[in-house]
Amino acid sequence: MEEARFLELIQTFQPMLYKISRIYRKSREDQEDLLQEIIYQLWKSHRSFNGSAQVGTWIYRVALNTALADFRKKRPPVQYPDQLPDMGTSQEEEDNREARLINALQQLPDGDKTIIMLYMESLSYKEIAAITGISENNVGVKLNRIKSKLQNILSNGTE
Amino acid sequence: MELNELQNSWKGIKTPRLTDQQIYTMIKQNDHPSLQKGQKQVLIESACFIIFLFLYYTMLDGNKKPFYINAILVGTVMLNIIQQLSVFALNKNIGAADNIRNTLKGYSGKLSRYYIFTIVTRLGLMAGIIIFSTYNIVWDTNKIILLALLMAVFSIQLFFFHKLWKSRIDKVREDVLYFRD
Repeated sequence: MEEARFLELIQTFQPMLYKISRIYRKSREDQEDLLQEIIYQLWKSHRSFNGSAQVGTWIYRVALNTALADFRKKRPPVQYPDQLPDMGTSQEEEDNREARLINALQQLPDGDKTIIMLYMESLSYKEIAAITGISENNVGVKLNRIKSKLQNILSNGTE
Repeated sequence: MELNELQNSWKGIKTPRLTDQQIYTMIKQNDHPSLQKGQKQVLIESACFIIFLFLYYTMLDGNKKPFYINAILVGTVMLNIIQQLSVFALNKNIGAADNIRNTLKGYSGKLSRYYIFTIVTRLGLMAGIIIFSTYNIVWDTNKIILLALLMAVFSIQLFFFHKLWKSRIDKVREDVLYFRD
């Protein structure tokens, strides 16, 4: 894969990469480091990408591997407000909803984050199973548990 | 928040755009902040070991000790330089096996091998320094205290290394277990 094609790929997938770095790291600085590490790891492994899998599958795999394996010094987490303000503009409401969702996802264990992230990206059980290495049945079982954990966090602030 | 809403909110998250130039900068190793930081530390420590190898022979009376004692010291120091440099191979490529579970399994093996290699080379260095410095020595209280202090420093360093890497390896193993059917 040549450099121009690689840059084009990253441009296409960077919203997803950015979201991964947001749910796996809490501070802005750690998120930036992780995003950079993911892009670097994609670049290092792009030569070994032989085209047997879809390019999107390969990007998900490398990005999530990096998020799970990359060790960085833990910085103090960014605290998001639990409650929405009583009145606000629709933009503020949207920002708060986004912050609440990210905050809830950050509270999940890393493995759970991986599965639910792929689910929210609209991947099928089969695709999630292929990327993670677990069976489709197990994807379903885990997803049900994660969904209820996430609902609890979103409603009560804890699992 | 309902699950459909969850998916919609996820898809609606606003993300900043990186320019081609910013991405290009990120993929160049020399501009990579975490690697650069690690690189500096490894190079400084390796340079210290190399300087030690140049100086010890005359400054620490290596020329007055038999060949095999010098060989043990030089060998253990060289192994520590190799150990220092091997961290690059560890960080450069996490790997991309056919799925996340297999990649993490491979990575966990890589971390464990690095951990064992480091412990062995550090213990070797400690033994090498002790053998070198105690050869043909007339012991007195001060020398025993000095040797005990040296061993304490090595042990503390090893303890912290063990604590840090054990938790890293355990974390990856935990993820491997999570993705096991």
